[in-house]
Amino acid sequence: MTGTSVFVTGASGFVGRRLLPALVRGGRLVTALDRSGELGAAGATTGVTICQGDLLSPETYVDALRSCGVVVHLAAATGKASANEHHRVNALGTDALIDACRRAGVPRVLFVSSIAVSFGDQTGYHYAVAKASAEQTVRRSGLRVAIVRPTMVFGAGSPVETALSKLALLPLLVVPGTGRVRVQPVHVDDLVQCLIEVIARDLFDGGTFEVGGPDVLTVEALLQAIRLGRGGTPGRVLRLPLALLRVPALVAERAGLGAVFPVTAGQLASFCNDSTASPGPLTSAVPARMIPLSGMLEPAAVNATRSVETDRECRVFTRHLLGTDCDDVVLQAYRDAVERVPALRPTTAFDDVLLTSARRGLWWTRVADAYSSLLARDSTLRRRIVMLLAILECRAPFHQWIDGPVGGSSAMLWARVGFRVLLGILTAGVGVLVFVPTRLLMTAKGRER
Amino acid sequence: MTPAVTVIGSGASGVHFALTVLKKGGRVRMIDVGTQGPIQPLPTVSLNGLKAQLPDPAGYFLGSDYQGVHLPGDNDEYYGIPPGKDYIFEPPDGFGHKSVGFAPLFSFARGGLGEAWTAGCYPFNADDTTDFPFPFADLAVQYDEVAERIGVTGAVDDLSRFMPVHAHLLPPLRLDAHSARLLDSYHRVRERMHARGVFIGRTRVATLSQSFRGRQPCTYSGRCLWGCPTGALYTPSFTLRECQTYSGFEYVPGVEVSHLRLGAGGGVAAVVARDLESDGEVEFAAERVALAAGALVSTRIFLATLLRASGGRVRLPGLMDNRQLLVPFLNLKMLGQPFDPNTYQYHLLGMGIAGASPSDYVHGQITTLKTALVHPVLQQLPFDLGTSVDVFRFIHAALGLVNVNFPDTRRPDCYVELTSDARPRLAIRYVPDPSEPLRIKKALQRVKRALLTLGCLAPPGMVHLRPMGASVHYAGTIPMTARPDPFTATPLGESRDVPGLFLVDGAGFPSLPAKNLTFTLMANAARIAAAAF
Repeated sequence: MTGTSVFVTGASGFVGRRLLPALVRGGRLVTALDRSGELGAAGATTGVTICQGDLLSPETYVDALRSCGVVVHLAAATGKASANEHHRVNALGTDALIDACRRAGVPRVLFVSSIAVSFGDQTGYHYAVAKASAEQTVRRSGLRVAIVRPTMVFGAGSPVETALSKLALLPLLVVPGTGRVRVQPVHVDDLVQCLIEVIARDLFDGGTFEVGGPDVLTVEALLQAIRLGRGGTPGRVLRLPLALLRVPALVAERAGLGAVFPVTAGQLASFCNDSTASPGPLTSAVPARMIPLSGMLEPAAVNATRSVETDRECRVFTRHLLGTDCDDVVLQAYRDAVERVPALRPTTAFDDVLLTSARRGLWWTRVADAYSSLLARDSTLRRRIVMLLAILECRAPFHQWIDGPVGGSSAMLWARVGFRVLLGILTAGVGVLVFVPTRLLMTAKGRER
Repeated sequence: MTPAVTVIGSGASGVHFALTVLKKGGRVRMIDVGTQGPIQPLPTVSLNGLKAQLPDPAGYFLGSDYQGVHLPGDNDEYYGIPPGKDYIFEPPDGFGHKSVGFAPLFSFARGGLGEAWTAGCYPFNADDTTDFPFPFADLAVQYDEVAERIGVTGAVDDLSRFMPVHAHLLPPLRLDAHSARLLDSYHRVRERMHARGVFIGRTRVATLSQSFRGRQPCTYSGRCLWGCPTGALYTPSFTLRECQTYSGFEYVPGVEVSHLRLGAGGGVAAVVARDLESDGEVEFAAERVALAAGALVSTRIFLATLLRASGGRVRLPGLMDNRQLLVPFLNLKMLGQPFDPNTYQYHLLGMGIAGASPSDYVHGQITTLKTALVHPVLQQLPFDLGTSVDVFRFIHAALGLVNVNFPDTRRPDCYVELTSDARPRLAIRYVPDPSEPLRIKKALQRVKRALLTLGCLAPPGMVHLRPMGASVHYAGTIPMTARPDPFTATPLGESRDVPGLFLVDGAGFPSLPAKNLTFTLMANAARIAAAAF
């Protein structure tokens, strides 16, 4: 089916963002339904035609469907959406889409459902109920269809992985239920590969394909694995009877207070139903290539001491550059850069002295940087400050301190800049007085070339 | 069924060649590596809006590995390619080359190097094409056609004496305050400038100032450098998509062409390529092939074809590129002024410098500094970085850059050949013309003097001579000639050594004036397609 044009709903979601570039790489013409206008904010692909529209308003996209050979239906309400919202988007939205596909003459529909549809216990799980209804709509559509039910989908940005990580990193390892139900996480890239297989092999004969990863384990073992993978130590397990959590959650949801609970009553169904996939033609075709759980949970080793030092450095350098403090996004980016960019590591003993001195406070930063501007322009200190400058100029509101307009009359501006330059020259003089003798001393002691 | 013509490459030449054939009712198969990049996030949001709304702005602007940051000591150019455009220059596995005196850039992206261009459209004139073996009128009519396809904005002004006015010229883009001030200054000293042979006017750019053929006009969001989010700035992938609407068009991405297999009569029989997914060899039957993979990659395919067919290694002389000189300047009248980030970011003004003869013409593109990242410039100031931030805010709106382009000619000591390795690579050697330093010195003096007349200073020590290869205007290895010499092409681009093979990109250019050649690549490819297919 090379060259088939594909229409994707839910293209800006977690799976959609991975699916779009994979489809385009395969030479397909891709049209993506985009409700919010924010498609691609985290890396979709060129070669995609954007169709601004709403799943529930078929008139906004039915024309775009006419030229498509396959519709991949990913759009869904998930998480803490209300029962009505789950029904509206997942069930009625699918009804609307299928109706539009019929009118537009789309021959094939690939519906991405959920393993939750197969759960025996769906108490309060509006998502699973709505998805089951949507599956029925798809099956009865009269079109050539395929349904894919993934298990827990992991990978960068995975909502379920994020939620489980929060649970796994509590001081005690809290496990709702017995912890013995079996899970089979699948990496999002493997799921995407399976979707592409369905299209490439034209598996639109009404079949339902359950897709899971290569590892099956208990949910408690999964939480422990996440805990270790995130740099934690094995946690003492606290198993909580499911009813203890489920009943209050149900009551709260019915009272409209569901948002105060960390999980919904429905999501707890994952702790009392096996979430494993039956082997099928999709996964059996690609098992050797599938990403194992260990690959999904790369260790996030963090050197706490170094991190604190780097954060302090980032704050003082920000005050040096902009006269203000930075925020967590800047701290995170700076920490990441210092850890990963080799050019930001000190290369000589004197380089280290400059950096250590600058960390001591604002005055020291100014003096060390001023010295560097004259006599050590390629020093690690200056490189780190330039890196921070680059990060700050990409982040609101800090960029305004760098490229925003300067107010005041022309005379005031000239006076201000003149004063600043004079101060800069004086600081450089102090820097020379402090650091030239230091360097000479280190050279004399053989600690610096 | 074998298509009427097989096109190799989806860049500026390839897509306009293909579209011309398709419009005539022909059938085209296009073979391409076709690497794809990320789509632009939040297309309706301004540049500064992205800084507030993106979840990871550093990742977007600086790259996931901070490769977009210019650190002290990098000895790099003022600005590199934004991280989001890195994919354009990513070679397929195993691609290699050897270069002396030349720093080439290759593209295997869908749309080719044109995906990273700054949209400058500078038609050659009759003086520029005296070495071309066909009448200028044949090219002029195709400029009209291509302008109608891609949408070119500009004005009829003092630069028109160097750039013929083609049809379908749309109104120019809105000027930013600094560019407007420069143009205003120019008009006040126009006669003096003309007496010195310096002319300033609007650049012609393939960026829309008004809706055009279903594309939206520029929204002045300030995002040009990172990739136009609305499609107002033309790139060849637009024309590729247009080609894909024709039933006679087949696009085959994911394959890297290695050579052509020749038939018994020495003509083209098949295109031989590597499937990048399976790493296996694939063959496409073809009797007529248009090589449009970019001058250097096309040359490599041509050389590999000759090597396979006859076992002989050939050296192709005449490689050309535009030398570029970057001249930063400070407009004293703009010191302390605010700047508007919601403006068009690339060049809006051009500087034409007439020479002793038409072939000595030197062309400058004037870009004022707006939303480009400022840390590469700011770190050049002779202060601590805290002081530099304050000083920079004062001078930001006053900064600009003239990118001066020089012409080039085919010379025997600039050549391309294949290495003698088991897997031959492209070997490039470029030796500048001995007269180049003097020509550059003289042009620089004239540019600095012109800037001074406009009230601008070119700070000493800031002029940067870009390495050969940096402009990516490669041409001249298999030139079109009237004389039937070996390793040349006919006026319609057909190789004299391999019947059925057409050189439709820069490889066939017999000379290179000081103008971005992309617009002419499109027009020439359309000319060949219109006449030969």
